Amino acid sequence: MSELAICRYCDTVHRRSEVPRRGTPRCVTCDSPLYHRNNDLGAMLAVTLTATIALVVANGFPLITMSVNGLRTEATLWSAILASYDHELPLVAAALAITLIIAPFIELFLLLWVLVPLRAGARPLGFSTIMRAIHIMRPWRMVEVFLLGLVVAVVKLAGLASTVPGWGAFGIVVLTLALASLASFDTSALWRRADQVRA
Amino acid sequence: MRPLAFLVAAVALYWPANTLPMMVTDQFPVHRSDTILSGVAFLWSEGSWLLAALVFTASFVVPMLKVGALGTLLVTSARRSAWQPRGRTKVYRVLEIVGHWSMLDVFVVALLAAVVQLGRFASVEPGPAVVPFAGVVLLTMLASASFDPRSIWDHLGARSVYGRE
Repeated sequence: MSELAICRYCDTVHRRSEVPRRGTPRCVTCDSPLYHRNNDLGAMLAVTLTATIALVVANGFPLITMSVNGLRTEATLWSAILASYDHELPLVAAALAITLIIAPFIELFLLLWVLVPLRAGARPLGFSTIMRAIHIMRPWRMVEVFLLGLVVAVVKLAGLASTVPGWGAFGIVVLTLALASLASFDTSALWRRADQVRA
Repeated sequence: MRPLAFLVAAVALYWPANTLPMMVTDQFPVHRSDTILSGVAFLWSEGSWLLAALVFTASFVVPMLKVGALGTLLVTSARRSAWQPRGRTKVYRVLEIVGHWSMLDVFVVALLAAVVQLGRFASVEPGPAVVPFAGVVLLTMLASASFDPRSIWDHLGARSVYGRE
């Protein structure tokens, strides 16, 4: 199985040894990207840890601090969610909580769950179920969109009051970069490693 | 049928999402109530062109293109069309990437509502369009997640793909 790569858009099966060595590997049938070349699990673990720390920082510190005439207000991730809830928008509060806190936390936790044992040479408990769960969680985290929203909010407020991004915003920036970097790893390397470990 | 159901639900929410106010701003003595498009126009009139273009693209252009593109994909797959399978697969990949960026305005409104709470001086409240708008984004995401891109290729023989058997 390690030699084969299946296109997830059209099911064409490729031999990895016959995929051109240069450039992005692409499906011969539908031209979609086949897989990423980066399969260093140690680096993947390091980036996952970075992302986890950044997520904790993003959750624990204010995103924006605003002051007008001696009045100071702060917005954290949690206060943004509570504000939606207080305005009788529980669905929006739920969407924010899922896309910004729950989905990234679950994805990073599950990644650590599989990466740590695989690095240590053991097959993680519930490996295939967890890999599927990671795949399902992915589209629902929207940290990078939130970062852009943060930028828009700060610019909009600039005319109203003196606004300063806080440490939480720094956490969001680092988290966005780390998640983007995670997306450039070949997840099928995890499967291959799990097969080696079992053998 | 499932992607079609999600898409129809998204289209149904499209009208309230774009006509109801998204954000209600009180900045004494000014009271503003903005829909997506009037918010963009306001940003433009204030001279924040880049921001206006960004919000316009993420909140208006992307959802419209998404609904149109998904509709086209569903119809062509259902009709077992042999038209541009590579192009249609590419459209689907783009949909997967841009899908969630439309949540931008929801995040902006939630953030502003959280930070701008200065009593009588200024306050920002989320408007009634926030729920249908987030609904459009999430339902179109569900629609594209439940669409199987293999249905573009399933009925195409090797001849139509490579020009040979």
